Amino acid sequence: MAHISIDAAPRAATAGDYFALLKPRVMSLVVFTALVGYLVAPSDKGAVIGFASILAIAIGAGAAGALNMWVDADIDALMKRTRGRPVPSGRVRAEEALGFGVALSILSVLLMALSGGVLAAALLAFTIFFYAVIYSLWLKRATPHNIVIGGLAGALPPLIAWAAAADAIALEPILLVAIIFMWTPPHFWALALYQRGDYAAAGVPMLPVTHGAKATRQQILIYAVLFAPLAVSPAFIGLGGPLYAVISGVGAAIFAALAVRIALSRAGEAAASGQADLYDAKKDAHAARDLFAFSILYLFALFAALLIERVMGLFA
Amino acid sequence: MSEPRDFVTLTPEQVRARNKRSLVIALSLAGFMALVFAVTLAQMGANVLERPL
Repeated sequence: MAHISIDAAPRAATAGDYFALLKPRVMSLVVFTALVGYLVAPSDKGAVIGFASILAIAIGAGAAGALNMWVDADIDALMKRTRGRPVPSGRVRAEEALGFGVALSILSVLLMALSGGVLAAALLAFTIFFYAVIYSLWLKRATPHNIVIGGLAGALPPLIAWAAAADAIALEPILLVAIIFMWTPPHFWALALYQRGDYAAAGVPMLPVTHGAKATRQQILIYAVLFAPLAVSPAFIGLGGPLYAVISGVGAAIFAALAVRIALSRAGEAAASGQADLYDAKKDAHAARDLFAFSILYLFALFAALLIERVMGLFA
Repeated sequence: MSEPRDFVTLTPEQVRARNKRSLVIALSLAGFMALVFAVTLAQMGANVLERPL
């Protein structure tokens, strides 16, 4: 009889490592936008159904994150930003991430079918499939438009939540989806200008890698110009009230100004020769860094305004 | 049938990690069961009392 020690592994996987597979930071934004989508929808389903529906979306988003980590294990190991994740660091095996992701996907869709209905469950299943298969397995490694098309997965949660609350789809949640969809490219391309060396080393065809920093800055400006009026539009269809109108209007002006500034800058040029951290004070980096930071704040503010108006009864 | 001859010996750290994982799984499953029960009651509403006696 022999006893074999298996302490050669980097570290025993903890529950925290499995939680990290769910990409909790991404999940938090998904939960927030979904919560707003649920609360602004016409519904009388009550708190228990609402809680279960939002939880189903959170679990589904986490499942998609775990599946993404299974797909991306090889390129995550090559990038400085992602090499500490549970799979590339060896704490969780890739097959375990796959099993974890599949199990949670099934669980989340079933929970949504029970709480939010078949329409919401179908939308959630489509979103998980779109992120794990269409984006992670295909688009991410195939085209510089990866995050443009793939951004749909991150944009759908308000629509899923609305469908769970109202058992229907309407113009309002589609507009919320469009806002996040158009927000995604300038947000991620601002980040990608700094991770250019990282993405190039991993062979990921991000726009700054395939078309250079200048073309990326131009694309950021184009998307920002299209995004700004879209962000304000809920105020004109009755979805947002005066608070939303002010926040979205002022924010859109700042967003557009930052995009113009980035287009006129040389952001991303310094990162061309090697890896650079997002918050490194690189030459000409401030324009892209500021847009990236403001984009997060702006999206949060837009949905927070809708939430405040609905919860406080400022605008019905 | 012969008995297995090789056994894996876990380090104390691995045992602690496994116990914690098991605890989290147990609590998660219990929470999920409670949630499904609560959702079922919420969906059925007053109809939950409509049953043959």
